[in-house]
Amino acid sequence: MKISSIAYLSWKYLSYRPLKTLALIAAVALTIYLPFALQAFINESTRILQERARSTPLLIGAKGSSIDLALNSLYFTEQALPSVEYGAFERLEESNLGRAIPLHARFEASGAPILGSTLDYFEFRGLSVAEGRMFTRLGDCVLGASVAKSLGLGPGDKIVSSPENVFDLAGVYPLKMRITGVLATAHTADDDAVFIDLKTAWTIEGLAHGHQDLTTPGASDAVLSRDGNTIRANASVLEFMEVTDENVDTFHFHGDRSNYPISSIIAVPDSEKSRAITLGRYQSDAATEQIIVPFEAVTKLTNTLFATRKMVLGAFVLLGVTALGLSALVFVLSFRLREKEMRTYAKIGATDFTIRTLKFAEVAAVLVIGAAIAAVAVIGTQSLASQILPTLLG
Amino acid sequence: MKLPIPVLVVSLAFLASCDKAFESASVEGPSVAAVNYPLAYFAERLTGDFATIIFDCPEDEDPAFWKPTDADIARMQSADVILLNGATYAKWAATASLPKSKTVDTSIAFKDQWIFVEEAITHSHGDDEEEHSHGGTAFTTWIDFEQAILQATAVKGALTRAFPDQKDTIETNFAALQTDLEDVDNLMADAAKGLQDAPVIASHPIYQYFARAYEVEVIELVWEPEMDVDEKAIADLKAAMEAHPGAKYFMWEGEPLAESVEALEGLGLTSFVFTQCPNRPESGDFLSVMKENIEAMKSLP
Repeated sequence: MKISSIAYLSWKYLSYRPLKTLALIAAVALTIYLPFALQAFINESTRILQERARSTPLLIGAKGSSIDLALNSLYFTEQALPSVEYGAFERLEESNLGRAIPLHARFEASGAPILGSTLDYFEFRGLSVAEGRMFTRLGDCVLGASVAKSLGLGPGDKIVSSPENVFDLAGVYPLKMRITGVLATAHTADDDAVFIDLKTAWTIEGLAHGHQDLTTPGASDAVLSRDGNTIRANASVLEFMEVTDENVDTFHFHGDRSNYPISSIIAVPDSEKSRAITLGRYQSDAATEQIIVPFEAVTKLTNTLFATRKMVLGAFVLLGVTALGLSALVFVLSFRLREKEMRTYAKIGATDFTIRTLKFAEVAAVLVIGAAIAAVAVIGTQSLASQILPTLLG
Repeated sequence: MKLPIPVLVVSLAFLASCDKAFESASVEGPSVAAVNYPLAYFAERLTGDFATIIFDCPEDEDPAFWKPTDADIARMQSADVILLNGATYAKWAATASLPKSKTVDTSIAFKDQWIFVEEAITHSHGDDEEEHSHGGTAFTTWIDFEQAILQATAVKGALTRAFPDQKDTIETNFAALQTDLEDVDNLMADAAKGLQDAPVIASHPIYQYFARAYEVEVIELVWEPEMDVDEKAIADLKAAMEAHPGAKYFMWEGEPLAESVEALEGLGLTSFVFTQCPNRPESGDFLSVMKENIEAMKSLP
């Protein structure tokens, strides 16, 4: 019998039982696809994590988990460590060992993390404004590309910072912020954040505020006492919850700015020597902050992911073996049920070799088609992983 | 609802002008922004012609109380160096978003020498300007020329860091500027000797650093050169003269009205002009204006 005839008979049988054939092809395809897809996603997430960490030379923050510090500073996750004082940033800046960028990643607005920093952050991360303009004053913000898209907001709109705790009436009060621009897509965590000036972050924190002029007659109800140039006001004094061109001059800061809180500091040493000196400054027991190399912290995290990956891959291999075993069983049972059909082939002249070849062709066709589908899907997943991953991670 | 065509045209023109304001915000090539003219002058002298100096305060406004627009701030943000005077000068800077690494407080080196003004009267310069006060920290730091040299040194440091390839030009130009400022300092000290015998009454509370540096007792009122010297003003002046007897001179921050000069002469006070030169002068430059101040002091009887 010709090869083409065997192929024709195999195809006829497989198409005669389409559901069974498709189920077998799907089982084979998924068995091959899932471990490779998982591998692709883990590789991509590791690459993304390490790339952002690698582009951030050093991080300084409160003592504690280096992973918490890295995740809060790089991905604006919930601030798990205590704040450090702005004075730590000032001391680092005065040391002239390179660039220092303060970060304040504690608050949220409409579910998106708020990052308070200086304009140097945008230059450091290579972020540019795609629509509108950069913030220029207290109470302004710019949105990451994904936040702007998901919230449907743009320049000229307003966004309100969320209270940290709805039950804490004395806690931070919401600030209505003016959106001045939307950043170009960066395919990083910056796409998902709301950016404000560090001074605006301190305003949300309650360290700066604007209120009605206490020297005017209209504010007399709020005044407790006057002593020379000192006016004491009670809690009824009207505080502004939005910074406008009209009231911006009334906003003022209280206390020593060196004591103001920040989440962490990005340090960008200007040379290897500066890097060594900077690292050395935080090694003593007397140091109140810790310094980390984000790449090392993230590598520690990805190594944990790697251990998890090995377990999951092992489970997939077991599942694959089981699926292939079940597929083999289906074929064996199918061939037994088709004994009569095989005997007919023999009666019309087919040899044992031809019949075995026929059976092999059917099995091979299912395996090859399943493997081909899996291969295409894996290639597609690998090329799309960098775009799919942020969506899956929310 | 249909909008009339002229309204649409005007609206579109307005929107277009807003866009253009921000489009023209950034400056091509090296640039330095300054919050007042003395700092802009120092930057101009030090950079020669390799950088554009951004100083956008309108000529008829005092940069200390000028409120830049969002477009003005955006233009400053684009500069390679932003020079602040410090000592609470230009209060808008406290709420503006400026890149920290490019912003320099030029008076921070002598922060412990800043003068704190405990009591101050809130006032305005004309009907169009908002009320303000000179309370808090005195900020006309540069009319003590030793402090001006320290500020110029801070400008030099910032420019050298921002433009390392221009270091030689900046150093050479700084040496010349330092010599000029030292000369003015010596001339100022010399001219001020004629004012040290008796209190000098000043039209505005802006001479604290001059008074301390050149050992002149300055009694400061809150007058404006263009104001009518009315009965209340004369009463305030007489009270000041009684509290500080022996005053012979009245120092104006700008050219006063002839009637005011005449009225003061009637009280035995000779007027002269000492301008702090916070904004770009109509003619000459910072040094020539300061030399005019010195000449005015030297020509006093």
